[in-house]
This record gives sequence, C-alpha cells and structure tokens, in this order.
Amino acid sequence: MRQLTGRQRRAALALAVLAVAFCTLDVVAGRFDGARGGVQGVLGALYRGTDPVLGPARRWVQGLPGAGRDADTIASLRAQVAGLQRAQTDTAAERATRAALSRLQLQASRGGYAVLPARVTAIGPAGGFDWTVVLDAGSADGIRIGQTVISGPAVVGRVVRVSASSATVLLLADARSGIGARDRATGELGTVTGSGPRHLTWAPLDPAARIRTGATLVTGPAGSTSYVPGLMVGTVDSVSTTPGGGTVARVEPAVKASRLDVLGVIRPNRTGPPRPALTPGPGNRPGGYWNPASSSVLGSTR
Amino acid sequence: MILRPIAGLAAIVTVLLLQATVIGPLTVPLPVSLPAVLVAAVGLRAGPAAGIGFGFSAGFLGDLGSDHPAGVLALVWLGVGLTAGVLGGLVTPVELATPVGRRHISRRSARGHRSRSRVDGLFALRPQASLAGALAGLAAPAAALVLTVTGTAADTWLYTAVRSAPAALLDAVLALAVVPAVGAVLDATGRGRAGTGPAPAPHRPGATTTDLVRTW
Repeated sequence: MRQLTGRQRRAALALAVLAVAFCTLDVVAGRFDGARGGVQGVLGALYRGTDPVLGPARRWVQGLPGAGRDADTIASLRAQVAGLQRAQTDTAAERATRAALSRLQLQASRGGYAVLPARVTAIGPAGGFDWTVVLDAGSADGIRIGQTVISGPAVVGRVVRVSASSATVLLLADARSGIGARDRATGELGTVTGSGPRHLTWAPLDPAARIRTGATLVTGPAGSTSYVPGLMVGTVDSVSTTPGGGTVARVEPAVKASRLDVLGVIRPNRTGPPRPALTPGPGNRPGGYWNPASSSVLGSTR
Repeated sequence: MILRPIAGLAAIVTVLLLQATVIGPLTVPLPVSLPAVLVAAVGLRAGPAAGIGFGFSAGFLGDLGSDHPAGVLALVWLGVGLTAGVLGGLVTPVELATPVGRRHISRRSARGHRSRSRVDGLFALRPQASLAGALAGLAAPAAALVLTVTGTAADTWLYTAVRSAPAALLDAVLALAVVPAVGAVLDATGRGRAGTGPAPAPHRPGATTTDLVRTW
C-alpha cells in the first residue's frame, strides 16, 4: 500500500472541499449553468461528430441480443405482408370482375337480349387467325358460332369455333376480321378491319364521306356479318386519304384486345316484349310508334 | 512534460464520448462507467497524486457535461483516484506472482499455447483490473449517495447499489484494456509506476508472466 504524503493529503482534502463547494453552489444558486452549457455544447458537437462512426457499431451490438427474435419477427411480418398482398390482389380481381359483370348486365338490359358471361382462358393465334381468345363456356352453355362477344357496351369479336365447354372468339384486332360500323353521329356506314391490338381501320362506303376526328363508331350492318348492331366499336383517332382518293380513319378501339378478361356472349333470343309494329297515326297521318304497354304515342315524325 | 496534461485531457474527452455514445447505451440499466475505470487505472499506475488530480478533473468535466449538480462526480472520482493510488501498491505484478498464479502460468506455458504471452499478460493484469472494476463499481452507489444527499437523485440509492455489482464486473473487463493502455501512455510520456522504482522494461513478444515478473 502506498502512503500519502502530507502534501497529497492536503491536496486531496482541498479538492474534496472544492467539490463539495461546487456542488453546494450549483444546487443552491445554479452557478455553473453557463459553464455547463458551454461544455455540453462542445461535448454535444463531438457526440454528433462521432455518431456516424460509433453509431452503426453501437446499433449493431445493441441488435445482437434480439437478432434471433428479430429474424422470426421479420419472417412473420413478411408472411403477413404476403398474405395481405394476396388478399388485396384477390379483392382487386373480384372488384374488376364485379364491375365487368355489372357492365354486361347493363348492356343486356339496354339491348334487350341475354348475355352469357364467360372468362378468357387463353389468347393468341388459333384456327388461322392471329388474334383470338378462348372462353370458358361452350355449346353446353348455349354458345353458337357467329354470336357477338362484348365487353360491357363494346364489341370484342364473334364466336368462330365452339366445343362443348369452350369457345374461340375472333377479335376485331385480327386483320381478317371485318365488321360493319357506322358513325353514330352522321350514320355513315363503313367497314372496320383489324390492324393489331392498338388500332382499327375504318373505311366508309362513300369515299367522299366527311369523317371527323373523335367520331364514335358503333356496329351496323355490313354484308353477311352477324354482329348485333349498336355496340360501341371505337373512336376515330385520325383521318387520312388513300392513294386512290378514298378516305380511311384510324380508330382507337373501345376495348383493348390485350386486356380482355370477363366477356359476354350475346344470345339473340329477346327477353323483352315483342317489337312493336308501326301503326297509322291519328287521322291516317304518318304517326309514330305504338307502345302497347302504355298505349301512348312515343314519338312523332312531324 | 506538457504531453501529459494533453494526453490526460484527450483521454478524458475520449472516454466521456465513448461513455455517452457506446458504453452507456450498451449497458443500460447497469451503471458501467468507463471514465471511472480510467480514473482508477490512472491511480493504480501513476499513484495517488495523479489519481487525485485526474479524478477531480475528469469528474468535474463529467459533471459539467451532465445535468446533475457540478462537483458530484468530481468528489466521487477524486475518491476513486485516491483509493486506487493508495491500493495500487498491493496489486503490482510482483504480488501477483503467488504460488497459485505461478503454477497456473507454468501449466499454460507447458501446454504450448500459441497465444500464451497474451493470455499471461491478461492474467497478470487480473488483480489490477479487479481492483479498478471494484472501485469503478463503487463509484456509482457513491455518486447516488451524494445525489440523494443533495436531493437531486433520479433513482434510489438502493436501486443503484443493487445494479453496481454486475456493473463492477463489466468495469473489470473494461479495465483489462484500460489499465495497460494507461500504463503505455504513462511510459510514453515519461512517467513510470509511482513509488516502485524505475519504469518497467518493455514487453517482449513471447514473454510469459514469469518473465514479466522478473523484470519488475
């Protein structure tokens, strides 16, 4: 054991008294607030300066005790997130299906025909066509060749092949697909042919017909095609003149061929009342349509 | 001789930084104190005069860097440095060379351990580290006692005292690194061990504790 010299004893005693005095002064009068602020400022700056170096090491060491637990927690949370994402995807898919069915229901009510919903199970070339889709419904469900296939109010194509449980639909996007279409505003008739999934081509029957950009085309009669009339085909995107002097329009399709999911096959058996006959108006004047349900004239040509 | 105060100030600031950024957060809720270990190590290796001065200075700086009243750590660490300086003479490696210790070292050396010199060096430091750890561990309840007297204690004295025992063990582990570092700095700045004659011979690679003991 080392012995303290007298000087060391006195120094120790003096410093101890000084420390007690400091303590008393600080507790009673807060005499060291300024010095404390300065030292804490300097040390705080040093803390912040060294934290980029020491902080990662400290956090790594602090994480060691809970490393196993954290791994389990992370795995559990990842599984939970994956489950929630699946549920969200399922919900989104169900919502899209419900919306598609609602649009088909609305179109069936509007057109007065039965619409058989079916889901697309395959897409690609088939039967010599480039753009076809296969539906999960067939002749057992009442689908026949030639029936019109829609997506909401828009035409998609027609059935070209049927088996008992599936049907192949030729899409409008196919170059060998032709459909009669008319300008809904002017009534101008023409033929729409496919040019791939991005756009269609509409050639009016009258080469001198005036076509305006933005015009809406709907299905109309053309040759022997069996499309249900009045369905939306697309919107005129641009108009150009052919070398032969004719006019053709590039049409933005109402439904993109690459995004088909739930479709409807129109079965043309009418579900509404029989079509009313034209009857003479009062006083044998050319009158209007006679509505047998309400016994009133719905419209007049005058 | 101006090197020694500069080295002391640098050491105080460094250990306060390490205490605040690494040691303190990693050892919560144990009151492990690297600065107290340093003060004890200085007292052990440099004697009571250096222990008193260094303990008071480090404690006062620590007080000003904390929110408790100034003078608390200065008083407590002054006591740590003083006690370490007085008791330091009891735990020099000469006293370490007990029959039990010698037998242990001989057995390890006979087995031909590759790192036996390092292990033996740590073994030689064990009493000093234990004393430094014990003193640093006592510093926490002592400071809590002073704070209780001044009415500014955040925890009860008993709560701090109970946690001091495991903290002292960790302090002793820290002392295994701090004590030789302090010795190296003191040697480099021209100050040997207090009151025990000339400075120790430099450590030769491969030397055992027995060799070290002979040189002291």
